[in-house]
Amino acid sequence: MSEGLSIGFLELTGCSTCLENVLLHEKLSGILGGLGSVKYWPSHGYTEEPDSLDVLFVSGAVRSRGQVEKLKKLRDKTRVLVAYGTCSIYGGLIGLTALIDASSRSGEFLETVKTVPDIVEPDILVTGCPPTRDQLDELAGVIKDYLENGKPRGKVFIGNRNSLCRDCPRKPRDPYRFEMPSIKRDHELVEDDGRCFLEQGILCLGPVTSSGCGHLCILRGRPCMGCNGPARGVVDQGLNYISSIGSILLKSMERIRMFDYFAAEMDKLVDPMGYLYRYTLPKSLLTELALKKRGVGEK
Amino acid sequence: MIINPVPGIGEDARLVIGEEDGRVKSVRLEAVNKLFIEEVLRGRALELLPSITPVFCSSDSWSYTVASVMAVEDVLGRKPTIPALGLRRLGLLLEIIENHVRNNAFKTLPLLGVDVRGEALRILGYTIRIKELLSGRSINPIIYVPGGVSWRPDDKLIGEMADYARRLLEKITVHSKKLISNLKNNEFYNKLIKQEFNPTSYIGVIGRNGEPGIINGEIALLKPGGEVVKLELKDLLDKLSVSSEGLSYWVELSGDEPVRSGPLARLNIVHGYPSENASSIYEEILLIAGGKPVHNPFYTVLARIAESVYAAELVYESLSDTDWLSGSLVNPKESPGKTGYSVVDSGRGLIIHSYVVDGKLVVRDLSIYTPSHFNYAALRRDLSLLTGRVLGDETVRLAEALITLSDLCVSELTINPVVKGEG
Ligand code: SF4
Ligand code: SF4
Repeated sequence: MSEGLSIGFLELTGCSTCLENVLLHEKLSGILGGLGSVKYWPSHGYTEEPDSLDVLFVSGAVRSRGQVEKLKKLRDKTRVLVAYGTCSIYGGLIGLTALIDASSRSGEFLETVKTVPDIVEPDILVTGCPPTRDQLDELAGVIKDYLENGKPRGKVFIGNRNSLCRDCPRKPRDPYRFEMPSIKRDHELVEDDGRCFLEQGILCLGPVTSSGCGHLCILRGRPCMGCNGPARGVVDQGLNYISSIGSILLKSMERIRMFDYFAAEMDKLVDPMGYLYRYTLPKSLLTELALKKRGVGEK
Repeated sequence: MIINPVPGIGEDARLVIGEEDGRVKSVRLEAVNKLFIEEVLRGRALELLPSITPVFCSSDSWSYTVASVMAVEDVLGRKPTIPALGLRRLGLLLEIIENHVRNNAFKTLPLLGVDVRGEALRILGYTIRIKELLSGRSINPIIYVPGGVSWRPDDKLIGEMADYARRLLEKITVHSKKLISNLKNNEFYNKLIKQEFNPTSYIGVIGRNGEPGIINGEIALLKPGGEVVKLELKDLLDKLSVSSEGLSYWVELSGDEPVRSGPLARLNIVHGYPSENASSIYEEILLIAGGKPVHNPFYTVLARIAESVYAAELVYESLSDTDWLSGSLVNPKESPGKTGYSVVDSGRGLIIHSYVVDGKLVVRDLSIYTPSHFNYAALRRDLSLLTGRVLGDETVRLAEALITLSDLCVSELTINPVVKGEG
């Protein structure tokens, strides 16, 4: 089936080395026909744009008018378009550049950071920074199906969309009766006692993040930063998170001196943008609101 | 003539070649994308920078993370533990291998008519696997924290990593030998390495015994005439001057020649690679070049081969005997200050972070100097040597090869020249 396939890699604004993992994943690479099928990958020496592509992997966020044009043009030539990595779907770390208006520096930049689905319709979406081996396993199956059975049947999201907390190895014994005793900053976690990070006062984005990554960070003593994108039902990672911790922070104290303690604790969240929107800022309600205020995108 | 995408860089830059009577009048590489990342990083909580700054460059994402963790440690006044130092070094060595193999095989060598992409992918398969076992993911590592490391692999995982490291070393040794002999017989390459290039300065981190220092050593500056100057990081920052043209930025050392960093710079600065296979490749390179300093950037290809073998030998060595992994993971003792600095000599070259924070440990100002900042100035001069040549395929290929040898990442080319060595 892989015979004669033509595949391409389009790197928008992002770091993009993770695209190499596509060819390093045995099953996926086998289905695609490996290196021999690569027809377009400018950063890796394949600069000539082909007339058509069977599969195009797109990583990165969209920041410039040139990228919008390129993406649309390649979409028209491609059978299966894969939005690859959190950056392509939610902005990822590059999404933080939505904090500045790059269009005021050069007319080439858009007024804000866009994502691949904002511009064209992808057939498959894979989150992760980078997508994991297991996610690529699943992706291989879906691509195989698409290539064998003709035209894609609409969008497919790769990976488990439940929240990380649901199957977390640190999940509190009784998730309805536990308390976050305070808010600590990330570097203040020096002696991890193995309990849920929230119980240790550490901001872990597990409650609002999808678990396709297989708890990579949590298994290595690190709280979740939200890199796999929002869990099912989460509209805005930051706002949903504040509402989740609102119900567990200082529960018992709350009855005594709620305002003094609660407000002081929330003040420790010195950088909500960095802590809560590190990977999804362009798709947040905050960005939507900010753009509305600037009159961007209004007819 | 405008070339976009540019080999090795992609769509983020364009190569602009001016022409007069069929000959090259001017050659410029222009950045067309820029992250304005320093502006984004101002206002961030200090402790988050190690997870955000790798966005600069995933080819060097481990190096950016470590550089950032080290600068955060400097602000907090924390000293890293022994396991942390070992695991950082291990990650960076793996990244150096990847960087060199990727650049040679996918970026530079195809322009010279040499195709080793399949073998390169197999080598990357090993490095990426070891990195995944170490940090769960191949880019943007998560385990490095200020004062230490969040986790250590158990004996079973170490065994698995050591096995991959052994296979990596075998593969890379055979690959390197084949590649060197291939290059020796490559007419085009032999022609290129005989060309004259203007002397430049070279900068890198050198270890106690004259080996590549990576995260542990002194900054050494080799002047075109052969004089070596050791520099404190803050003195270096004071000497850097920033220039820009459109969206492109670069740094120079005040009153000096352009200064290169990265593999060619280290080839010139180090006294050798103290490991068996790499040291014989090093001797062979010097024999071909007729001694040091080597100013011809096409020797970067050979420097990358020697250094990737050296790194693979060290990776295997450090995973074969892991006594260094015992002891505390994190050292929490601290005495926070207001500024922090770090330097890492990554595969691509020198990465310097300098941060200024307020009383709440929020970043108020920062500068991040990247390898591209250094190498862009030297590249500008290399490209100017093409002026007057007949504008044909070979000239375009040469220009493209000079760019891939410099290994620029142009969206990195954005710096804030405010933060210097004070503090
Ligand atoms: S908050 Fe984090 S540590 Fe706690 S259960 Fe959820 S994912 Fe696990
Ligand atoms: S635990 Fe969170 S930050 Fe870590 S890989 Fe998973 S989603 Fe990403």
